[in-house]
Amino acid sequence: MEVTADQLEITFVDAMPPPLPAGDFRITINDAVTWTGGSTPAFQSEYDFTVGGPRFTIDPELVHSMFPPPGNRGHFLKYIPHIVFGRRSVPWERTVDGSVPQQKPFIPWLWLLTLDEDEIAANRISVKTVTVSEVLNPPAGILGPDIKLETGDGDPAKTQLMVIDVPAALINQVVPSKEDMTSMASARLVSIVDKVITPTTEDGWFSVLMSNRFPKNGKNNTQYVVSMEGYGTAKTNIFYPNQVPAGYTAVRFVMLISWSFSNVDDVQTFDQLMNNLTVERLEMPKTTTNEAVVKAFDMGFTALDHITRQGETTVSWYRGPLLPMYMPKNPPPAHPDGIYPNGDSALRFDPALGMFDVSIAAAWQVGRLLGMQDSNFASAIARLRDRNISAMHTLASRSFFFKTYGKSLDMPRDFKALLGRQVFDDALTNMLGRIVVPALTGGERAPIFGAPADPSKLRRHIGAIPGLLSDEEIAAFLAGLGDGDRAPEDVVRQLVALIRDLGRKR
Amino acid sequence: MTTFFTAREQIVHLRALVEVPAHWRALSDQGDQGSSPEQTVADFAATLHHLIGVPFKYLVPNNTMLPPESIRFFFVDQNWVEALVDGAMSLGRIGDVDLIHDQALAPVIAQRAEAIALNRRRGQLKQSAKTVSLDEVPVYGGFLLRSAVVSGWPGLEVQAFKSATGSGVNTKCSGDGVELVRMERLANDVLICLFAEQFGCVNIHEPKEGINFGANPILSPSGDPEKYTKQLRGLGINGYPIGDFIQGAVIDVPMRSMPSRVVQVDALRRAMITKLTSIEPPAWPRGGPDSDFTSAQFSLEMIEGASQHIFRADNTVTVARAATKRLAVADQRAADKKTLNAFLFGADAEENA
Repeated sequence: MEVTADQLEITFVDAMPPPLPAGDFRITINDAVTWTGGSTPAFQSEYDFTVGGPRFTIDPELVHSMFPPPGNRGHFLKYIPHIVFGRRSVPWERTVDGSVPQQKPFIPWLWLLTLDEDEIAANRISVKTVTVSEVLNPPAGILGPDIKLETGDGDPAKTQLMVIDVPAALINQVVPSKEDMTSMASARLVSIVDKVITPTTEDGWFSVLMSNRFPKNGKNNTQYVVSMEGYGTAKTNIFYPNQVPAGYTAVRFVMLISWSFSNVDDVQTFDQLMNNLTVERLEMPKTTTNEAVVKAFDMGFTALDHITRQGETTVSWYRGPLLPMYMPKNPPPAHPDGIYPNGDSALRFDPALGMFDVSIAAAWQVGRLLGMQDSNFASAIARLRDRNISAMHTLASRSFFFKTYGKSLDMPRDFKALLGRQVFDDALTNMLGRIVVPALTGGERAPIFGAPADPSKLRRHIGAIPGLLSDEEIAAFLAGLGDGDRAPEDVVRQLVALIRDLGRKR
Repeated sequence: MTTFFTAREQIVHLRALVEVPAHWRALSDQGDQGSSPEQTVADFAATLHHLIGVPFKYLVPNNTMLPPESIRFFFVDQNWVEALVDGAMSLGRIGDVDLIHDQALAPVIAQRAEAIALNRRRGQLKQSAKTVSLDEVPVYGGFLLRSAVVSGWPGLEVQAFKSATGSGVNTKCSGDGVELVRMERLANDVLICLFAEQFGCVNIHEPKEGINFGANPILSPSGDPEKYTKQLRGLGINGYPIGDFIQGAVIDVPMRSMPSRVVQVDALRRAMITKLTSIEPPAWPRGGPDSDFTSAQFSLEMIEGASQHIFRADNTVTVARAATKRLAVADQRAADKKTLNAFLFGADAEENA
């Protein structure tokens, strides 16, 4: 169930368990076909798979923040410690009793145990490094979790992890009930627009695990995120109001994270720290009354030792890019476009004080070094410059060519075509068509390109072809017809007679 | 190498080459495979615009400028940034033609890089990119925060606004919000925040995901708590606004025993339900199953208010936008384009340009 607090812009969610908790699983498929009159034998297949998740250690990258912050000293009496994970499902990725699937109410597998320095000293609680085997089979008198080895656990004799052994009496006193545990973990969704963006914050989802104890006043308090996996089964149920089974003097917990803070009358809560900040512009504190120095400090300068190129030791002004006042963009007259041929040319001299200002020269040098560091950039700037300059020369020579022969050549109107590799081929074709061919043929037989004028050469010998009338014969025939109206059959008859006569003559 | 151009013409033509998008595309088609070099160069220049990768000592040359537990406001000197970018671009710059080329390229890359830089954080937040006006020089400013709050509260939140009203403890931020363009931890306890606009007010508050759980300790004469009480909040039911305190709805926190400091968490949850349903009108539905009141409601009840701290940036300078240089470049660019077309295509090319 969700609660959205508009004013706070936080969405609270009771639990975000993954669809399957971490562990080894097996899919079994039974397949049989049944019909009226019979059935096939059942076919069965099995597939094993593992859902990974933190168990004996946890990736520190998953931890977003802890409260009160590690090592802080402040007035934290009123606060219950908590830890925030950058992944929404962390507290529900395992179960305390191995139940699958998880049912409401969801019980987190992690417990944030708070112990104060006196309890730690009196009970000699220390973080020990042991192997997985020593968790599964702890020494006599120490209760271990009721868990089975999983595929992802590695060699139990070699995989190391951290544990704490807590005396049974202390556990009986502070361990929460299962119902308590349910309320001690929740998930939150917040906007990250106002935050530093990191892998743990980028989706805006977090899970929060709180302790069930207030910190001890005036003492150092240590938080242990311990695994409760295997402590909620029938065999080893230690949750309140159950007791650690008789015969065990201590309980061994897998310890994933720990941190400590001091609950004292000091000034390191958020409010105290923020109230104690000194607020200034970014500049040197004025420890002198020298007018020139104060003026320089006001403009963000600081004086630094400077060994010049000649080996002379002097003091020069330097200021970084972060200034206490607004500085309009103001490149020096010698380099009005802000382009410097070298670092030295960006040095400025203050004649009043006889001091150099090395700020811009230093910026130029650090930029050059950063550029060299990035090999992608360094090769890109070289390629870009070569490409642009050679394109410019190409354009220069080609536009010169086209301008010179502008009367006879069409210049490509398209910029891309002018730069293109085909530009001279195209120009040559164009020129042949427009100039060379008309010149060679006296302009009469043009175009040389296009349909040929007389490919079979027949036109020159047209009078020699049998059955064809010559131009003169056609003219004479048309003249013989006269202007009067004649029947079409008369004309055809005369024409046929003429052609037959011609055929006999040749 | 002989050229057909004077130095001045080379600048004009190179600038027109790299400034007109169609020309740029035509250039890019000249056999460049994979990522275009101009994109790589602009991307890198964009990181420099936000001073990413600049060693801390170059930003803050003297530790006394930023002592522990301090907040320091600043403006960014664009001359410094320009020199930084120029230093990087100077790699392999040999001879006059290279210099002339870079003079033409610099304003183009600066504008492209600025557009990339201003949208960098938006990209990380998966927000849509905003159109960046190329003719305005952004007034970059921000602050450095060096404090244990930076290391202790990693989700620290920062909001900036145009102006502030009131004074002293009644100061409030007002006006439009100002967008963060860079927020990064430079060291474990140093945070830099950059804005691309002037701001008059900064609001720093505790991370929302890490708002503390707590209760009010009633101290005994010895100074140790005698008991804890909890003031309950509304859950958006029957007109009780979500998160607001309900007048008079205060309960004792059930403890297993006071010396053990162990909270009976589930009993506390039930005590909350009892209290919220007993008041008039009820702040939680009566008669419903207790299990409806989950750890979500429980968390909301348990949180202490997140505090916020307001810094009035009184040192803002009224800046007459000194955009003349860039504006001049913009005008120049239009003129240059004309010149190139006239040069390449003859005088009649103007209307086709």
